[in-house]
Amino acid sequence: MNTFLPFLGTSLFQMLLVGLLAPLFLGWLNIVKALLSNRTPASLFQPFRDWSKLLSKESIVPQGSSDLFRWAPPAVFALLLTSSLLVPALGTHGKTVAFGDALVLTGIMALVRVLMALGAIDTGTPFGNLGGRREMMVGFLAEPATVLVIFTASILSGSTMTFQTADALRSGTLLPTPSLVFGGLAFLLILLGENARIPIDNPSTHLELTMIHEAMLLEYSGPSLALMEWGSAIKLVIYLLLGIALFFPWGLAGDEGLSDLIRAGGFLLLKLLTAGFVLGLLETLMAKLRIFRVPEFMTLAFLLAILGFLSHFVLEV
Amino acid sequence: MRLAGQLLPTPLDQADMALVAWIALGCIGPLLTGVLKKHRSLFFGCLILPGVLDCMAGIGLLIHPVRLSRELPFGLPGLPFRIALDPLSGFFLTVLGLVSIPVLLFCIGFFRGSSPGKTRWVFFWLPVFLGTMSGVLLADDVMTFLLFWEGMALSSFFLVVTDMQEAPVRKAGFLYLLMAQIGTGLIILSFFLLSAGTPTTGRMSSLAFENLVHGSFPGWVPWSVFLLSLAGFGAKAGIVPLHVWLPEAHPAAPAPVSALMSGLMLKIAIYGMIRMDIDLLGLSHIVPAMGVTVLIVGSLSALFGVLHALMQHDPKRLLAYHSIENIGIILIGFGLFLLFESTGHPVPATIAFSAALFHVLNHALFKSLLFLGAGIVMQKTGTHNLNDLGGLFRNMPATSTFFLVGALAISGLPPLNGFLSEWLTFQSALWAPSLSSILLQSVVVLSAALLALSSALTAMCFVKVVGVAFLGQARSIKAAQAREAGMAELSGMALLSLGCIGAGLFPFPALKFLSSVVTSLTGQSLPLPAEKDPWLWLAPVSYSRAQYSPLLLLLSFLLIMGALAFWLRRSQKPVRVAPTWNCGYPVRDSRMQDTADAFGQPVRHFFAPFFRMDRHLPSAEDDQPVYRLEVRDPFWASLYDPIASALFFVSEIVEKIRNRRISQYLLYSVLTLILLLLFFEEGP
Repeated sequence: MNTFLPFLGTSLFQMLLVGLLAPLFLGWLNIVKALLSNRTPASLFQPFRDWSKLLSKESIVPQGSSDLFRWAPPAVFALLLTSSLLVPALGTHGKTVAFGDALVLTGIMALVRVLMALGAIDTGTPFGNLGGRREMMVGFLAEPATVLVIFTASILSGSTMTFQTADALRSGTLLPTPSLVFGGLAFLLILLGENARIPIDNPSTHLELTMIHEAMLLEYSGPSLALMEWGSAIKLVIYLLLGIALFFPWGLAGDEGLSDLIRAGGFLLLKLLTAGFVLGLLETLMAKLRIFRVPEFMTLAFLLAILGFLSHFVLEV
Repeated sequence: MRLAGQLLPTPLDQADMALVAWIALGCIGPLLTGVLKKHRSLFFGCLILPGVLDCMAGIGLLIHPVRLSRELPFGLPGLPFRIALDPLSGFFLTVLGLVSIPVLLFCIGFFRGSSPGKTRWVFFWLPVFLGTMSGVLLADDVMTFLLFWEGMALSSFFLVVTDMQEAPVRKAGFLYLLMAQIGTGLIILSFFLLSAGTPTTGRMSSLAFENLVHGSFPGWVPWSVFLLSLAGFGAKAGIVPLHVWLPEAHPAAPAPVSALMSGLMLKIAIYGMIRMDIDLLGLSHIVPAMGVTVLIVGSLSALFGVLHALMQHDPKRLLAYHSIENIGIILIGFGLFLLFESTGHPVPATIAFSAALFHVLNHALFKSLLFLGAGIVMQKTGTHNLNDLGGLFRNMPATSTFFLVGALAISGLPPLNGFLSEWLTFQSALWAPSLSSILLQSVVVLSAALLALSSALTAMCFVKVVGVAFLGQARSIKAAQAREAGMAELSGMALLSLGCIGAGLFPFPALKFLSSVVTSLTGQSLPLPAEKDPWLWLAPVSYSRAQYSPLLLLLSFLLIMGALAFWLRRSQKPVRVAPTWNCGYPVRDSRMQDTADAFGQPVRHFFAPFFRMDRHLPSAEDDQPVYRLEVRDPFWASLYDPIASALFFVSEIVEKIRNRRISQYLLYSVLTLILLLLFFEEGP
């Protein structure tokens, strides 16, 4: 029992942290995008306002759907919040209940994807079907690439635990190795694809020719919709935290003293602000790809990941 | 203690009794459709008992790993039949018992409405099939092994052709029989080569397994034995390109038979492969290239199987292709084991081996569950086509839930069991940097990537199956009127679902059992550090390298779900059921939903070289526009059809010497005799 009870407090803190960072990050991303396209940005807290409004509304369930449709949003939300324990946010000395490694994290992400797709197909509408089908298509290409990126990073550190990997890389040199550069590039593409960002998917349109993620959410309303959107924001933050742990672990706290943690919090904020700026810039500069070009995009991620571990074997040993 | 030991039957006795009981019960099986019609449930109850005995025998042996053997009092002159039980066969016996119990339970209800003429033979061959499978596991000499192996092939052939009035079923059956016989031929050859290396004692008892072990061979023999056994057992297990019988035979057979064939018989072939390569040939003869061969065959089977599964709309054909995929996953683990073991890395080798064995158990559990679920759906709706189903979740909630559990398990999703064995395989592949050459390292990492790709594709495939068959709207009247399965069928599926969940949540005990198998064959034990709560944490090497606790994952998930459900109930948000918004279009039809074939479309385009497609698109002038698409296995056109036409060509030539004149036939005989005399002239 003492292998996880003492960590309950910090785990709860981590979940809260990620759960609250998610809407803030989304707000920041929207501010960046609005400023870059010469619009007046909404407040940083706009996602909070949207979701609290949704949470107070009724839910509308499509005729003929089963219980799976109703239970998918809370299940997706709970899984994503749970998986936030698997990535280091502030410190690398694993004081959360890290119940699995990075591969378990990809497993949970796959489960989330399956549940969302099943919930969408359960509506029995063409939109739900095409959303679910396209989401699985992006997923089957992104998942092996993710595993390869994790392989590359863990080959350097000898562990698949994100905390250990971050710890090993944190104390290394600041100069990135070729394998990490390729891995990082691959991970950026995966992050865009997995989180339904431009150029794979546009979170702000509902055009049936191109939409993926939004097509799955079309029939959700009220609290279900809020949970789904909040879950997606959490997923984005978890991917960012994973990217930070594998490729930019500098500034994470080691042995946690309070001052260390506060410093790490400052670094985290800085990194997230930068990440939001980079993502916003990418989304403003790029156009959405045709859906048939998506496999090529994800294959590029896969090939970059392969280059990553090959360059480790060839150049770095 | 001594007295108790004598009173209680040993595991070998228990397994022996189970074997005899199954075959004996098979003999009275046909009476069930006549005299004993009333006692069908009792019969299946009796059939379950040997399964329980097999479980007890296997688990008992895994707890106290020893090797028990015995000569049977009958057999050929000078060649007594020998049976034995060691941890390896004990593990497979446990799997056999574990899966046979729920499948037999399912049978009680499943055959209730079938015609007596058909079921008579099922009731005979089904127990015989189970008995011969356990016989293969118990066999301790070549004769006994082959005897039971052939018995298994024959009994499963007769089970496949249960509906022999239909021509496709007969065709599937003969294809299966042909592949099985080719496989057996190769296995006999490899046994022959093995026994050639043993010291000849002048007696024929050298056919016992223990006399085959540790022979010293000339250099080419280990490779030949390895390749022959890979092809021979692979033909039974369904490795690519010897897989062609699987997608034909499984849809033809009744559902419980498919469940047993896919869940168990393919595993018996894996058992044969392990027995032949590791036990009989010996680890000292294994070279890294063999591991690479198995790894490549496994990766290709995994990818090929799942890609073709995505193209199917017959649920049982789809599951058959998934069996090919899962055999590939098992072989990836086995190949990693051979590779790491032969290059002197015992830690990843033992992890890979236990991952392969664990996947044997997992696949047996979830694949038989899925076959049973598919069988029930097909029985209740009367259709073989996924595109006629839909919305079954409302009419068949229990069946659908169990099928969903199986689908999540086979997709390798945590916290179920399929994820665990794939995770362990990944953990082993992560040791790639310790290998010496870049080539070996790349092969290992690429096979891990292919494993990830096929498990993601599997998830897509089962989103398709569950989505099209169980969710959404019914696409036909039959699907809308389907009724829930009976208690017997449901309890069988419930047991298997519990197995999937249990093996996923408590991996440590399962791995503890596997550890004794691994130790008995390699001499090394799994590292499995146990300083933390062992029932909670799984860490194959050390906690800092990788750890996983499915229970904590579930606990955290349930806590958050509970809090959410509590909040939603407390705040009493109204839930309103309303028709779906249809973009203003007036008609809403269930045919507007995706079909199973639409789901595979992106995959079909992306992996085009893996398929042979025949597509007909309607043109603008067609009066009755038709869209037709046929996706076929490329190995028929590129491998099997040429072989078949070559065979026909040769036999037509040979046919020419058969001209029905007795004088010429006599001439042939005389010529043959003269040739033989010339040939053997210089003999001793």
